[in-house]
Amino acid sequence: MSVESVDVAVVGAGAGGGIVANELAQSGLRVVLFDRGRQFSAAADSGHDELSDSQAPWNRNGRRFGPEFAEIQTYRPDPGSPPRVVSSRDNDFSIVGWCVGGGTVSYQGLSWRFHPETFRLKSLYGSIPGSTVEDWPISYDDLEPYYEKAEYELGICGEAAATGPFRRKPYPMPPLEDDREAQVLFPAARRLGWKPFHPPLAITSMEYRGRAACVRCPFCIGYLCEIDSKSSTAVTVIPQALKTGLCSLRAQSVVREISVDGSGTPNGVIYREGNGRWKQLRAKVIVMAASTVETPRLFLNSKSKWFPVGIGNRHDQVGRHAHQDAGVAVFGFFDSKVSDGQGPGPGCAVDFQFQNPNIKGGGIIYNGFSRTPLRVVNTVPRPESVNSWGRDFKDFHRKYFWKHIRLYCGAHGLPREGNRVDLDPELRDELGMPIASISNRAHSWSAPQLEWIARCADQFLKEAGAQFTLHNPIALEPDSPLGDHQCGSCRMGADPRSSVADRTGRVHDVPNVFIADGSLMTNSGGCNPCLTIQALAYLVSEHIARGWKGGGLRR
Amino acid sequence: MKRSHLQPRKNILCRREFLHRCAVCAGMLALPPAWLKLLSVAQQACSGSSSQLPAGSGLAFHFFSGMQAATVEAMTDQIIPADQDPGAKWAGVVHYIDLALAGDLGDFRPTYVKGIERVNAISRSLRGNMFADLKFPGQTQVLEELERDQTVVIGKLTGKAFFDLVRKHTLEGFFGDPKYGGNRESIGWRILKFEP
Repeated sequence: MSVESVDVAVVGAGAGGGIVANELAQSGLRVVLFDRGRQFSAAADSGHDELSDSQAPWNRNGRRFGPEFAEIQTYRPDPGSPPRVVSSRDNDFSIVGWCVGGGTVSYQGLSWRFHPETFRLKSLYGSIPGSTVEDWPISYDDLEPYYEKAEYELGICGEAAATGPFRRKPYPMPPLEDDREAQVLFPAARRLGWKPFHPPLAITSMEYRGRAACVRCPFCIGYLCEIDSKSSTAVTVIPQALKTGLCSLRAQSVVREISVDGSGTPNGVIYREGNGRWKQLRAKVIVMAASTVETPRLFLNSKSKWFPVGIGNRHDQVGRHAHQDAGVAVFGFFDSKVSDGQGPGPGCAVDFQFQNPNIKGGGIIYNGFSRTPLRVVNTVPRPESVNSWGRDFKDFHRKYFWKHIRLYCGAHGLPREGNRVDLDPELRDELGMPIASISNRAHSWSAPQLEWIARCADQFLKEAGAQFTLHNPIALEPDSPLGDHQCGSCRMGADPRSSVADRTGRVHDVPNVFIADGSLMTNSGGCNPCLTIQALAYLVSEHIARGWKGGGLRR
Repeated sequence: MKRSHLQPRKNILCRREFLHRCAVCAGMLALPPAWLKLLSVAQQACSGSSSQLPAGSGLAFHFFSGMQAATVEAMTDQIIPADQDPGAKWAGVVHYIDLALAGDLGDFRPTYVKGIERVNAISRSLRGNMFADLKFPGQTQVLEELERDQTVVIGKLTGKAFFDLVRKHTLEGFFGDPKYGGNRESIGWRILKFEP
């Protein structure tokens, strides 16, 4: 039987992989785009039912946008400590979203650019004890054109903030109109002398490239948008890639490893479609975009006599430095209604990154989240005097359902010594692949930032009229697996001894394997990472296309 | 894949729920044409509009025995009790849980069987009676005890974990979509003034 052969195999059709597939197909390359999850559509898979249509843990059938089965991982806070097994059915499984479009299908769509300082934390602050932080091999200025491209190609609405990083062009769409929460928050922030602005969202505030404007429904984060107004890669770049006729999408197809030819050059992937047999797809270029957990898992599972410890792992760097940004939500409770029930939620933000000379890093505050019954009763904290059940519980939520505001406070996280995504030496998943074994603990560097930002949020809510505020405890060293903002496990760097990929996203010493997901990020920012993943995907795509045209990658 | 068998199952749940209500309330089962008409009415009702069923309607159970249903119903009504607005009992949360155990959440059946036994054991030792037969304050006392209970009920699940599970399912049945058999007449949404 002849082996199928294409120019590029892209593994993972999420935030980054969808972009790479489209860019390379537009450049005339033949691409196969794999995802182990399903392809969902607005017609069949959106709805306003919290029990069935949401990616949130209160979906009684498990997570709506994958994994569809009980995938497992092992987790420990430190490499030496005893592991526990976490399942995708649990709240604390390290996951972004296993489907075509990845996390962009069900995310809130916050699309920040990182600040220039984020790319050179080590130069700015020197070595930080307990952290493996390094400067990125690229600067903000290097990435700026790709941020711009991502904003326009995907469709981001927002406003150029006075406190934001330099930008050459305005956002392609204006912000959404203010809802009541925004009307309450903007004047309060200004009274405090701050510079509030409308947060950038991957949501259409007007008709954009054939997609309708957002109808302001509240079923946003956790849901697939019913009118494709959320600018996920599944409704933007992936359909464009397919339209070229050069890109083939293989959903529900698991890639097990990268294959290597007789001379030690990677030459494709081993995969299976649905329940079919394992087979090879030959590809001249392989792009890994499977997430901060799954990309290193696949590299480490690609062992051969040329790569005895896995591809890209010569210096034992694959999977190391995994981390995420830090966050805490602060809730304010008011005497009168502060919401008019409109979605999507985030309508007012204040950026405190690199603003306070006494605080290293810093972070960002923005409001909102879907105000829907199960989300509210499951996530809004109550005063200690209110029990978790009974008359007081019912009374509290009835009283405050429309009278609370949730502020999310993000802060910078750091790669921490000891953090790693590795393969479990014993446990395998139902397909026979070693499962991911994750060691993760947050670096204590984030704590002062979070405490400061949470105090700002508290001040903000009280200025806006809140009678009292509540937030969950700020854990100094949060003890949990990697969350939605996971990054850094196959980071880019100038030195091959402390990184996996170079400034173009190419794996050091491996000419034709690239990375285009959150694992490539050298460190987190003080805010949601998606647009940075997407800007990097445009940067990596351009280098691949250039290398292809120059003949270097074509062989 | 998951969707393709999930989608019709929703309708089956609705239809089944309708049928058993119908069998009790209207005795229409012998008239197939009227049935079909009513089925479509039921499906509409399931997709949002309010239904006209009497409170405490004596609907049949698919999984629970009478004693089990009475125990769980009383537990749900402790978790979300009636005050100026109806509580979990009126909202039919026990039917939500019963239908779930008969369907999608069948894995939890042994947990409920053993958990209910544990609740009644605590109830008998603390108050000398079955849980459902206690007055409201007595039931509150038993659940406060269950909330602290580290006795293993089944597998690794403690009495406390069983309480947490019933609490989770009660919130689902009270605040989730009425099409799953709870949240009768959207009462959970109406008390929050929420419109989906």
